[in-house]
Amino acid sequence: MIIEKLLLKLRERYSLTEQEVELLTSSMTETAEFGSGGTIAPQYEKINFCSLLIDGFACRSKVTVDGDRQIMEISIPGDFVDLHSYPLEQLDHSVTAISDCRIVKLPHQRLSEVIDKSTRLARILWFSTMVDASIHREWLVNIGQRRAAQRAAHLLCEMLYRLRVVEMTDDDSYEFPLTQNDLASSLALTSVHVSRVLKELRGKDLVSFRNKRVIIPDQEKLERFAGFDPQFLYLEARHG
Amino acid sequence: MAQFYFDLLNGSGLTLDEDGVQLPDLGAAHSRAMREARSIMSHEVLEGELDLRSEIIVREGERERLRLRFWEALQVRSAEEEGEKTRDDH
Repeated sequence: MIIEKLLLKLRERYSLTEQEVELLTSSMTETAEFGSGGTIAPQYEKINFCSLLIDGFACRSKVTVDGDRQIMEISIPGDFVDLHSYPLEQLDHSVTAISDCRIVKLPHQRLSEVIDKSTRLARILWFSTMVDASIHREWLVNIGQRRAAQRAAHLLCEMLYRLRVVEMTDDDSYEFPLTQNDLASSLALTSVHVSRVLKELRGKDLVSFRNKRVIIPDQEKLERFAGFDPQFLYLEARHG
Repeated sequence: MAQFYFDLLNGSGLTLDEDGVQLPDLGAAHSRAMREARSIMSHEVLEGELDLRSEIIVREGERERLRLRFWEALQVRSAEEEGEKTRDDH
Protein backbone atom coordinates (compact mmCIF):
# COMPACT_ATOMS: atom_id res chain seq x y z
CA MET A 1 0.00 0.00 0.00
CA ILE A 2 1.34 3.36 -1.06
CA ILE A 3 0.54 5.13 2.21
CA GLU A 4 1.81 2.26 4.40
CA LYS A 5 4.47 4.38 6.16
CA LEU A 6 1.95 7.16 6.82
CA LEU A 7 -0.42 4.62 8.38
CA LEU A 8 2.37 3.26 10.61
CA LYS A 9 3.04 6.81 11.77
CA LEU A 10 -0.62 7.65 12.41
CA ARG A 11 -1.40 4.31 14.06
CA GLU A 12 1.44 4.86 16.50
CA ARG A 13 -0.83 7.52 18.02
CA TYR A 14 -4.39 6.83 16.82
CA SER A 15 -6.49 3.83 15.88
CA LEU A 16 -7.87 4.28 12.37
CA THR A 17 -11.06 2.80 10.96
CA GLU A 18 -11.17 1.08 7.57
CA GLN A 19 -13.22 3.97 6.22
CA GLU A 20 -10.63 6.48 7.36
CA VAL A 21 -7.83 4.49 5.73
CA GLU A 22 -9.88 4.20 2.54
CA LEU A 23 -10.64 7.93 2.54
CA LEU A 24 -6.96 8.80 2.90
CA THR A 25 -5.81 6.25 0.33
CA SER A 26 -8.37 7.24 -2.29
CA SER A 27 -7.47 10.92 -1.91
CA MET A 28 -3.91 10.39 -3.10
CA THR A 29 -3.27 10.93 -6.81
CA GLU A 30 -0.09 10.49 -8.82
CA THR A 31 3.44 9.80 -7.63
CA ALA A 32 6.55 11.76 -8.59
CA GLU A 33 10.26 11.02 -8.29
CA PHE A 34 13.11 13.34 -7.45
CA GLY A 35 16.85 12.77 -7.66
CA SER A 36 19.08 13.68 -4.74
CA GLY A 37 19.22 17.47 -4.50
CA GLY A 38 15.99 17.96 -6.46
CA THR A 39 13.35 20.45 -5.32
CA ILE A 40 10.21 18.68 -4.15
CA ALA A 41 8.45 21.89 -3.17
CA PRO A 42 9.79 25.35 -4.04
CA GLN A 43 9.84 28.34 -1.71
CA TYR A 44 7.28 31.11 -2.29
CA GLU A 45 5.41 29.60 -5.20
CA LYS A 46 1.71 28.84 -5.26
CA ILE A 47 1.13 25.18 -4.65
CA ASN A 48 -2.11 23.19 -4.87
CA PHE A 49 -1.14 19.81 -3.49
CA CYS A 50 0.66 18.31 -0.50
CA SER A 51 3.46 15.77 -0.96
CA LEU A 52 3.59 12.60 1.12
CA LEU A 53 7.10 11.17 1.12
CA ILE A 54 6.99 7.44 0.45
CA ASP A 55 10.65 6.78 -0.33
CA GLY A 56 13.86 8.56 0.56
CA PHE A 57 14.93 11.38 2.82
CA ALA A 58 14.11 15.06 2.27
CA CYS A 59 14.55 18.28 4.21
CA ARG A 60 12.97 21.64 4.84
CA SER A 61 15.48 24.42 4.42
CA LYS A 62 16.02 28.11 3.81
CA VAL A 63 19.05 29.85 2.29
CA THR A 64 20.36 33.25 3.43
CA VAL A 65 21.34 36.02 0.99
CA ASP A 66 24.95 34.91 1.52
CA GLY A 67 24.05 31.44 0.29
CA ASP A 68 24.19 29.66 3.62
CA ARG A 69 21.61 26.96 4.10
CA GLN A 70 19.79 26.09 7.32
CA ILE A 71 17.91 22.80 7.39
CA MET A 72 14.93 22.90 9.80
CA GLU A 73 13.68 19.34 9.63
CA ILE A 74 14.54 16.03 8.04
CA SER A 75 11.54 14.28 6.44
CA ILE A 76 11.39 10.51 6.22
CA PRO A 77 8.96 8.09 4.53
CA GLY A 78 5.48 8.51 5.96
CA ASP A 79 5.92 12.26 6.46
CA PHE A 80 3.96 14.87 4.58
CA VAL A 81 6.78 17.21 3.63
CA ASP A 82 4.41 20.17 3.32
CA LEU A 83 1.00 19.49 4.83
CA HIS A 84 1.04 23.13 5.95
CA SER A 85 1.01 24.22 2.29
CA TYR A 86 -2.74 23.50 2.45
CA PRO A 87 -3.65 26.51 4.62
CA LEU A 88 -0.57 28.57 3.67
CA GLU A 89 -0.93 27.99 -0.11
CA GLN A 90 2.78 28.58 -0.55
CA LEU A 91 5.80 27.62 1.52
CA ASP A 92 8.19 29.99 3.28
CA HIS A 93 10.92 27.37 2.80
CA SER A 94 11.81 24.83 0.17
CA VAL A 95 11.67 21.07 0.43
CA THR A 96 14.64 19.29 -1.12
CA ALA A 97 15.42 15.64 -1.73
CA ILE A 98 18.43 14.50 0.29
CA SER A 99 18.50 11.07 -1.32
CA ASP A 100 16.47 9.88 -4.31
CA CYS A 101 12.85 10.42 -3.27
CA ARG A 102 9.39 9.34 -4.30
CA ILE A 103 6.29 11.21 -3.23
CA VAL A 104 2.56 10.79 -3.73
CA LYS A 105 0.40 13.84 -4.18
CA LEU A 106 -2.59 14.83 -2.09
CA PRO A 107 -4.27 17.70 -3.95
CA HIS A 108 -5.52 20.49 -1.69
CA GLN A 109 -8.99 20.07 -3.23
CA ARG A 110 -9.04 16.41 -2.15
CA LEU A 111 -7.74 17.34 1.29
CA SER A 112 -10.69 19.77 1.62
CA GLU A 113 -13.00 16.84 0.88
CA VAL A 114 -11.25 14.66 3.49
CA ILE A 115 -11.71 17.42 6.07
CA ASP A 116 -15.39 17.85 5.13
CA LYS A 117 -16.05 14.12 5.39
CA SER A 118 -14.04 13.40 8.54
CA THR A 119 -13.38 15.96 11.22
CA ARG A 120 -11.47 13.23 13.07
CA LEU A 121 -8.98 12.80 10.20
CA ALA A 122 -8.71 16.58 10.00
CA ARG A 123 -7.74 16.62 13.68
CA ILE A 124 -5.23 13.81 13.17
CA LEU A 125 -3.60 15.61 10.24
CA TRP A 126 -3.57 18.81 12.28
CA PHE A 127 -1.84 16.86 15.04
CA SER A 128 0.88 15.80 12.61
CA THR A 129 1.64 19.42 11.63
CA MET A 130 1.80 20.25 15.34
CA VAL A 131 4.43 17.56 15.81
CA ASP A 132 6.43 19.17 12.98
CA ALA A 133 6.23 22.45 14.90
CA SER A 134 7.44 20.67 18.04
CA ILE A 135 10.39 19.26 16.09
CA HIS A 136 11.21 22.76 14.85
CA ARG A 137 11.19 24.04 18.45
CA GLU A 138 13.49 21.23 19.52
CA TRP A 139 15.85 22.06 16.67
CA LEU A 140 15.94 25.70 17.82
CA VAL A 141 17.05 24.52 21.25
CA ASN A 142 19.50 22.15 19.61
CA ILE A 143 21.34 24.71 17.52
CA GLY A 144 20.89 27.54 19.99
CA GLN A 145 21.85 25.89 23.25
CA ARG A 146 23.59 22.55 22.90
CA ARG A 147 27.27 22.15 22.28
CA ALA A 148 28.36 20.75 18.95
CA ALA A 149 28.72 17.05 19.82
CA GLN A 150 25.40 17.02 21.69
CA ARG A 151 23.64 18.56 18.69
CA ALA A 152 24.75 15.71 16.46
CA ALA A 153 23.93 13.10 19.12
CA HIS A 154 20.48 14.62 19.62
CA LEU A 155 19.66 14.49 15.91
CA LEU A 156 20.81 10.86 15.70
CA CYS A 157 18.53 9.97 18.64
CA GLU A 158 15.58 11.78 17.03
CA MET A 159 16.08 9.91 13.76
CA LEU A 160 16.27 6.59 15.60
CA TYR A 161 12.87 7.15 17.24
CA ARG A 162 11.19 8.46 14.10
CA LEU A 163 12.59 5.79 11.80
CA ARG A 164 11.62 3.07 14.26
CA VAL A 165 7.95 4.13 13.99
CA VAL A 166 8.01 3.57 10.23
CA GLU A 167 9.94 0.31 10.60
CA MET A 168 13.11 1.58 8.99
CA THR A 169 15.51 0.60 11.75
CA ASP A 170 17.32 -2.67 12.22
CA ASP A 171 17.94 -3.34 15.93
CA ASP A 172 20.46 -0.63 16.67
CA SER A 173 21.06 0.84 13.22
CA TYR A 174 19.41 2.75 10.42
CA GLU A 175 20.14 4.09 6.96
CA PHE A 176 21.09 7.75 7.08
CA PRO A 177 21.95 9.26 3.70
CA LEU A 178 22.86 12.77 4.91
CA THR A 179 26.24 14.10 3.78
CA GLN A 180 28.52 16.06 6.10
CA ASN A 181 27.27 19.22 4.41
CA ASP A 182 23.65 18.25 5.11
CA LEU A 183 24.52 17.58 8.73
CA ALA A 184 26.38 20.88 8.97
CA SER A 185 23.29 22.69 7.64
CA SER A 186 21.08 20.82 10.12
CA LEU A 187 23.27 21.48 13.15
CA ALA A 188 24.39 25.05 12.38
CA LEU A 189 27.98 23.87 12.23
CA THR A 190 30.44 23.75 9.36
CA SER A 191 31.32 20.62 7.44
CA VAL A 192 34.82 20.10 8.89
CA HIS A 193 33.41 20.70 12.35
CA VAL A 194 30.84 17.96 11.73
CA SER A 195 33.64 15.52 10.81
CA ARG A 196 35.36 16.37 14.02
CA VAL A 197 32.19 15.97 16.07
CA LEU A 198 31.41 12.60 14.50
CA LYS A 199 34.96 11.50 15.26
CA GLU A 200 34.41 12.53 18.89
CA LEU A 201 31.18 10.49 19.05
CA ARG A 202 32.95 7.50 17.52
CA GLY A 203 35.82 7.92 19.96
CA LYS A 204 33.36 7.75 22.86
CA ASP A 205 31.75 4.60 21.37
CA LEU A 206 28.44 6.43 21.17
CA VAL A 207 27.93 5.80 17.48
CA SER A 208 29.60 4.32 14.44
CA PHE A 209 29.01 4.66 10.72
CA ARG A 210 29.14 2.04 8.02
CA ASN A 211 27.93 2.31 4.41
CA LYS A 212 25.70 5.29 5.10
CA ARG A 213 24.23 3.50 8.14
CA VAL A 214 24.27 4.88 11.65
CA ILE A 215 24.94 2.25 14.32
CA ILE A 216 24.02 3.07 17.92
CA PRO A 217 25.47 0.38 20.20
CA ASP A 218 24.04 1.80 23.45
CA GLN A 219 20.95 3.94 22.93
CA GLU A 220 20.62 4.93 26.58
CA LYS A 221 24.22 6.13 26.69
CA LEU A 222 23.75 8.22 23.53
CA GLU A 223 20.51 9.73 24.88
CA ARG A 224 22.19 10.61 28.15
CA PHE A 225 25.07 12.24 26.31
CA ALA A 226 22.67 14.24 24.09
CA GLY A 227 20.28 15.16 26.90
CA PHE A 228 17.59 13.60 24.73
CA ASP A 229 13.98 13.32 25.89
CA PRO A 230 11.66 11.82 23.22
CA GLN A 231 8.52 13.51 24.60
CA PHE A 232 8.69 16.26 21.95
CA LEU A 233 7.87 13.61 19.33
CA TYR A 234 4.48 12.83 20.94
CA LEU A 235 4.77 9.11 20.25
CA GLU A 236 2.25 7.87 22.81
CA ALA A 237 -1.28 6.79 21.91
CA ARG A 238 -3.65 9.75 21.98
CA HIS A 239 -7.30 10.20 22.85
CA GLY A 240 -9.85 11.00 20.18
CA MET B 1 34.32 24.39 -10.49
CA ALA B 2 36.44 21.84 -8.72
CA GLN B 3 35.93 19.37 -5.91
CA PHE B 4 37.80 20.52 -2.79
CA TYR B 5 38.30 18.46 0.36
CA PHE B 6 38.90 19.97 3.79
CA ASP B 7 40.84 17.79 6.22
CA LEU B 8 41.37 18.74 9.84
CA LEU B 9 44.67 18.20 11.61
CA ASN B 10 44.56 18.75 15.35
CA GLY B 11 45.45 17.24 18.71
CA SER B 12 43.38 14.14 18.01
CA GLY B 13 45.05 13.48 14.65
CA LEU B 14 43.91 13.85 11.06
CA THR B 15 40.19 13.82 10.23
CA LEU B 16 39.65 13.25 6.52
CA ASP B 17 36.85 14.95 4.60
CA GLU B 18 35.14 12.19 2.66
CA ASP B 19 32.47 14.25 0.89
CA GLY B 20 34.25 17.36 -0.35
CA VAL B 21 32.47 20.30 -1.91
CA GLN B 22 32.26 21.93 -5.35
CA LEU B 23 33.81 25.40 -5.34
CA PRO B 24 34.72 27.79 -8.16
CA ASP B 25 38.40 28.25 -7.32
CA LEU B 26 41.14 28.17 -4.71
CA GLY B 27 40.10 31.60 -3.43
CA ALA B 28 36.67 30.25 -2.54
CA ALA B 29 38.34 27.24 -0.93
CA HIS B 30 40.48 29.56 1.18
CA SER B 31 37.41 31.53 2.32
CA ARG B 32 35.69 28.30 3.23
CA ALA B 33 38.73 27.07 5.18
CA MET B 34 38.73 30.37 7.10
CA ARG B 35 35.11 29.93 7.96
CA GLU B 36 35.62 26.34 9.04
CA ALA B 37 38.54 27.31 11.28
CA ARG B 38 36.63 30.18 12.86
CA SER B 39 33.56 28.07 13.47
CA ILE B 40 35.55 25.32 15.19
CA MET B 41 37.49 27.87 17.23
CA SER B 42 34.30 29.62 18.34
CA HIS B 43 33.01 26.37 19.79
CA GLU B 44 36.38 25.63 21.40
CA VAL B 45 36.26 29.04 23.08
CA LEU B 46 32.78 28.26 24.42
CA GLU B 47 34.18 25.10 25.94
CA GLY B 48 37.16 26.99 27.37
CA GLU B 49 39.97 25.31 25.44
CA LEU B 50 41.31 26.81 22.22
CA ASP B 51 43.96 25.00 20.21
CA LEU B 52 45.58 27.42 17.77
CA ARG B 53 47.91 24.72 16.47
CA SER B 54 45.13 23.00 14.53
CA GLU B 55 45.24 23.21 10.74
CA ILE B 56 42.86 22.79 7.85
CA ILE B 57 44.42 21.09 4.84
CA VAL B 58 42.64 21.77 1.57
CA ARG B 59 43.01 19.09 -1.11
CA GLU B 60 41.92 18.67 -4.68
CA GLY B 61 41.82 14.90 -4.94
CA GLU B 62 45.13 13.74 -3.44
CA ARG B 63 46.89 17.02 -4.09
CA GLU B 64 47.29 19.45 -1.20
CA ARG B 65 46.35 22.96 -2.37
CA LEU B 66 46.65 24.98 0.78
CA ARG B 67 47.11 24.70 4.50
CA LEU B 68 45.49 27.10 6.94
CA ARG B 69 46.77 27.25 10.48
CA PHE B 70 44.03 28.32 12.86
CA TRP B 71 45.97 31.29 14.20
CA GLU B 72 46.07 32.65 10.63
CA ALA B 73 42.30 32.97 10.67
CA LEU B 74 42.22 35.30 13.66
CA GLN B 75 43.18 38.79 14.64
CA VAL B 76 44.20 38.57 18.26
CA ARG B 77 44.59 41.57 20.48
CA SER B 78 46.23 40.89 23.77
CA ALA B 79 47.08 43.22 26.63
CA GLU B 80 50.31 41.32 27.18
CA GLU B 81 51.66 42.25 23.81
CA GLU B 82 53.19 45.52 22.79
CA GLY B 83 51.02 46.95 20.06
CA GLU B 84 48.82 44.69 18.08
CA LYS B 85 49.43 41.43 16.37
CA THR B 86 47.10 41.40 13.42
CA ARG B 87 46.75 39.12 10.49
CA ASP B 88 44.76 40.12 7.53
CA ASP B 89 42.56 37.38 6.14
CA HIS B 90 42.08 38.88 2.70
